[in-house]
Amino acid sequence: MYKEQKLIVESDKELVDGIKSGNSIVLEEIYKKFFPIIKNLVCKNSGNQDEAKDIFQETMIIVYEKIKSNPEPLQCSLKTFYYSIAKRLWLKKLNGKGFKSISISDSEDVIEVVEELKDAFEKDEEIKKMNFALGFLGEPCKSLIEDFYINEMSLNEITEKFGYSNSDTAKTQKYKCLMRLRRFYFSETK
Amino acid sequence: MKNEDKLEQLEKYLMGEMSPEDAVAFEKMLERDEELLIFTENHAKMIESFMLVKERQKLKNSMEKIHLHNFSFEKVDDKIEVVETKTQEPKVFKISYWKIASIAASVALIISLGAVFTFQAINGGIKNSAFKSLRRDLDKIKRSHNILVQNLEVESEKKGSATISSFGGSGFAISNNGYIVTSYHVVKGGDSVFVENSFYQKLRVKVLMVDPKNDIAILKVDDSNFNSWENIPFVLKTRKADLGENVFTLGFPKDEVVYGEGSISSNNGYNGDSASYQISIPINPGNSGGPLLDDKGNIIGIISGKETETDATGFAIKTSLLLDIISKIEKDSTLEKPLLKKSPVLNGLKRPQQLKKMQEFVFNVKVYN
Repeated sequence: MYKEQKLIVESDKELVDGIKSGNSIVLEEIYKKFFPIIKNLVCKNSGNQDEAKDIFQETMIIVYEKIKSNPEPLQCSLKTFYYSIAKRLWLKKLNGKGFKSISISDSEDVIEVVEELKDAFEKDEEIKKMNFALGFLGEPCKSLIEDFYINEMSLNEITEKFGYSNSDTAKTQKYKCLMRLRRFYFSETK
Repeated sequence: MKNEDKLEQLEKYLMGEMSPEDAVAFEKMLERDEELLIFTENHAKMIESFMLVKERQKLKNSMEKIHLHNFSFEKVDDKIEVVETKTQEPKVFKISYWKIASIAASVALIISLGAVFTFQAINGGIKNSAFKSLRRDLDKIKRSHNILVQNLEVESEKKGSATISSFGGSGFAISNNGYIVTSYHVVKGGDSVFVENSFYQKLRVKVLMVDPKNDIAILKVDDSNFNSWENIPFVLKTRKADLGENVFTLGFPKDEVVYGEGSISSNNGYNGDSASYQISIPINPGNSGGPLLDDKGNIIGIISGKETETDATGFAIKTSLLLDIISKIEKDSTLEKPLLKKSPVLNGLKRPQQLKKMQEFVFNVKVYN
């Protein structure tokens, strides 16, 4: 079943549309198409398979967030976009590992992606902040909040999972936990 | 309207799930109530943050599956679930900041005449909640409670064994294929762990998974003398126990099994910790990790500790947290699935009969290091 669902997507436009609608076949298509390129980039420049995977998946997230939030079409090919972001990320990683003055000889076109990386960095910080606040919550509040707001569980499912007597209790618990989370989340100054 | 209902309304509004009429009414309310407005703005920020985490998590999960399927060199189990082929419409986040901002601007000069409702720190305030979160910290448990690890005497002389039994607690079997539950603090730091009772001389177990935060450990029998059990009598119940409900436990505060009974004295544990019950069973060192059962013989918790200042005040971790860790084991394809009992065996029996059926499956957990 899995194999037959292969979809040959030709142009960038179809891929970009697929990204926007969250199409999982397109996601797989993109993964298979671009991962080898990024793997090549990382492995040819002092990296290994695992690092290539991390860099590629990080790149994926940046590309997805950019395309989903930005109605304007890309100014370059998807391939160039992937390559440019992955290259920046990898250089940053190498720098962090103490490699000095590295140069990567490009096999692909490269564009400037400062804006994208800045956005991604801000989002990382936001997520850190939320995780930090969640970390303070303790159980079962943390799980309850995550289940409701992140894992899309309904109050009924939560009632069952946490063994509350009815969904009103779950609602009250959720409220209490959220109020606590707010204190941790907003008490931290930026 | 209760605060939690207001929150529900507000979330409906933010998610665009409110009918247009209700939305207008809600906005009217925002205009009148500055406190609510600020709350809404802040809540929108948090919802946005949750969305971000959610989207990333989904993408990450899908990518892991794709990677495993296409680029992993390890043998891939055919049963591995592939990415969902259904195109999921993401929930649209319809919050309109400009709208809230414009309301905010127009409200700036209006003095709100008595807040419709106030989102205030609920019962207890910060001091209490900070303490609650510390509760899960094991070191804290150590300091605040008598850690119920029994300091066993050196047994080497008696048994002629070279190993020294250093501490112990209680545990109970939850599945016929050898899964045993105890407290994390009982097995923490031990090199080898054994369980025993009057039916089983000594079974070697390995510590399979631990949840230090909730003080739970899952053990599995790893002994050549063991095949499987029959007739495990325990059913795990997540139903919330009622205040005053009769509860009982079996455990090993000494080398012989000891019965204790009492009732649920509070729905929350130490300093209001909602992850545990407070119970009026006299708890002694060595009781940790034992089962807490209701009248019908369902497991509703794991004995975890007691308060130092008062007698006969014990605490038990609620079963829902145990089920969390069990579901982790169930999801891990490298581990044998624990086969939990669903049909109650002990229900309707008199207490002595219940205890008879249970005794084979409550263990003295001995930890050597």
